[in-house]
Amino acid sequence: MPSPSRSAPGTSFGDRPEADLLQYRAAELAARITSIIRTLDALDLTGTAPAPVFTVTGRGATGRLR
Amino acid sequence: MTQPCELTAAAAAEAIAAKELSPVELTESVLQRAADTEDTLNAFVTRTAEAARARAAQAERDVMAGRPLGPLHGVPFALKDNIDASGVLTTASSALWAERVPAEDSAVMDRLTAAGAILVGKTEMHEFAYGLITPQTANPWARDRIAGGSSGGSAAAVAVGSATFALGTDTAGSVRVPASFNGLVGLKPTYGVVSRFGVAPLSWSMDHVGPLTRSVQDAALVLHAISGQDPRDPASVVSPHPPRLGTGSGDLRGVRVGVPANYFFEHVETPVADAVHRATARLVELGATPVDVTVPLTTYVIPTLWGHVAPEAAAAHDEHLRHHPELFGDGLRTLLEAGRMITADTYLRAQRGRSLIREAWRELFTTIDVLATPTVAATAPLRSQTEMRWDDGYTEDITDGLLRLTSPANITGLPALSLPVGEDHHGLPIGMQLIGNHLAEPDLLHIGQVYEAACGDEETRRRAPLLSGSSSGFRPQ
Repeated sequence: MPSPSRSAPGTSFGDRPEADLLQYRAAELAARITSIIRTLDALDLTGTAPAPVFTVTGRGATGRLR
Repeated sequence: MTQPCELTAAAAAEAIAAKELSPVELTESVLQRAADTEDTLNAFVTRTAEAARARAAQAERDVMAGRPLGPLHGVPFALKDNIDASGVLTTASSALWAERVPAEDSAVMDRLTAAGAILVGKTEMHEFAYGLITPQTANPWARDRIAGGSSGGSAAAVAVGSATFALGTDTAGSVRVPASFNGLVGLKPTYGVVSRFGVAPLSWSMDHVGPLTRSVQDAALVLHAISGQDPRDPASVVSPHPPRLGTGSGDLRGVRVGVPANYFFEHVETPVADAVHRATARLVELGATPVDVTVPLTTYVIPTLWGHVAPEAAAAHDEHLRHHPELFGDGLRTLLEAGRMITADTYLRAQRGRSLIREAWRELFTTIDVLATPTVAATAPLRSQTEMRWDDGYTEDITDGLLRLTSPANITGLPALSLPVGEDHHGLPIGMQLIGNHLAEPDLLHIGQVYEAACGDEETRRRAPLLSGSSSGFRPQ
């Protein structure tokens, strides 16, 4: 789990008295989400490309239908 | 006696076109229903009564003058509050946008105006659509239950008649879940069929706009009005399939209905599973062929969903997080901050997993035309509930429990329709989800309409709960 350090990069809680608690919760949640996503490690993703927006629509990067 | 506010959109439009119903009378009836119910429900952020009255008066003049009418001429509707309407407060139910008034219409507002529909207000939602509860809004069927979300206000308004139809957005189930909990029809179209221009993003690759209605026929009517190519949405596509508008005549011969042997009936309340099995059997009685299927890669549905939504939402709100983070609710702010911590390789892993899932579902749909599942594993939970606990000891966070069965259609981009198929022993509505093939909305809606026509109100339970002066439906608590 990521450290609930106040100096963790990119968070916006430093301006509040309860910043440590909120930042800890965010870090804990991020760790949980990452852990859930790691379930995908069991998949063989060899040769599998990402599925960004255009792929999901069935379109190529130029917007043309495949 | 049926009041105008209880009419479906199709019936109201037909009566208006035939000069049997005045748009003014219909709009007044809908506005009055809102006035009667809002203290109890809180479905609306903003009501646009005066503008609606002015538009209704003009709509009446157009009818009497014999001018050409749009397919929804004079029909009152509501928009979820993350969808822009020019000159109308649009807050996404967030303090961050408490005073935001857009100058331009969203694509769907523009299209509904062109179709003749009349905006009566903007509806409450889970803050920025990141949740499935809508805590501000009560469920009209039982006030101690959640309305569902994130389009909870839209669903509650249509359920009680304070809007004849409404639009919602659906990133993991946010149209279908509240449709299921409010006894309504909810449609998430194929990704890209409805433009999201002017809609606050939550997760670009998962976001959809769709209707909440009181009949499948209405869903088809509204979809036809709001769909179409829009260069302002990079995901926009045009369906090559013409819409099938009309009533649900005919049968379902030749339709292959997939009956899932895994995942979709696991950890599902017995009354919900039973109602969906009965409804599936009804589809078979109507001529459909049941096909037992094993749905592929279901273990990876929730990881793939979170792997997209968490980082995409954080990116979508990056500016807000930098400049006014204190204006988010603590729950949302924590989610967004957590999303910022997801690494790029994790996001890409989820995208690659999504490719595999999408390909596997494409293969699945070579053997079936539609997959019949529960929309949600349970009926509307109590407002105090934070988890779902099952008889075998399995416990899940309520959010994962609510989106577990709807999110596959967001990951794959496939169209999905939720329609009411009964009630549990508390009298709470149950929804069945029909997932169709890519761009197969006309087939999906046809199946729903045939089912609806065969069952009638008794089984599909489309009656609106009455909030005042009635012994039926809503029970004050």
